[in-house]
Amino acid sequence: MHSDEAKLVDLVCKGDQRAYTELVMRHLSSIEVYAKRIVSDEALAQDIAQEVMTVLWQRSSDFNPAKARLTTWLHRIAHNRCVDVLRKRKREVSLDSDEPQLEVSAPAPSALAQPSIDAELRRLPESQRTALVLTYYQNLSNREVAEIMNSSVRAVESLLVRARGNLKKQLEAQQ
Amino acid sequence: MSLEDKSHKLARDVVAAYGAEPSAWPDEYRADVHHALSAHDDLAQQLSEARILDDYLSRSLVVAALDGECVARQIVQHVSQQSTWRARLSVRLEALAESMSSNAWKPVFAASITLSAGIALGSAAYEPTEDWSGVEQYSFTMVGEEY
Repeated sequence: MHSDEAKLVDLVCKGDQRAYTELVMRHLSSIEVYAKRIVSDEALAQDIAQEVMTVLWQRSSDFNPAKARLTTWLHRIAHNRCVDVLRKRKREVSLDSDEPQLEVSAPAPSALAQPSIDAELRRLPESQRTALVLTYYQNLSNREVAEIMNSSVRAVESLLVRARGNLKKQLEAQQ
Repeated sequence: MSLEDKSHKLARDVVAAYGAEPSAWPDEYRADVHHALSAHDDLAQQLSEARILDDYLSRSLVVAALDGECVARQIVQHVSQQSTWRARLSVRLEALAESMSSNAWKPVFAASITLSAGIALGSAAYEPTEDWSGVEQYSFTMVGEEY
């Protein structure tokens, strides 16, 4: 971890607002885009990013710079929150499935003609998407990703291989 | 499995997991993967396919919208910090160290010594002046349960 970040966190523990603002400016965007890619909901992702920054303000003394980089700690909090949101959504969908379904409108033709990488990422299973997003977009090391996902490096690498393989198949299917 | 086969498999696995960009490969594998790529022509095809996928991934349009300064200000204004014993101890110790480094501690120290000595002397000289030996003892027996 950058030693200046350790100092800033130390200052945040003592209630220093300027140090806190500096850390939020450094990490908020990264956490926000991570949450957006995982939960695929802009408003929800912004709520998650703000919750993570609230934890940084309230419980910065829980962070141990000897154990992890600050970005890893923040991503772990964000990851856990995203998992909670996805589980809740799954439960709600399964409860709703008993009720009569409304007619779902078909996607706009332009969306079918030009499927974006973001739409393709949403089609991946949650764990594969998380491993790929943390590694490729968030630039975290395999060890850090394993720590965030509470898994092993081997398991993360296996998820990455499957995620890239599935994306490749999806790409080929489009062509 | 020979050393060459192992090296070939490692390169294949690393490119399959991390893509074609060497900076994305874990530090501990990078040199071996470079070596295997230069030694095995068949890996070039896999590398080229991985590059196409990397390019596709780089076209993501997800961007951040929140204003960091504004978010920080709102949180500081509306959320109080949960101070743990570790943080509180750290603040106290730092304040103590600061006062020790200046001369401010000397009068405080002198006053505390005088106060402690006064309390000790006063306690030693104290003798009870009232005799409580003849006072009626209280009974905790409930009325109606005397027997």
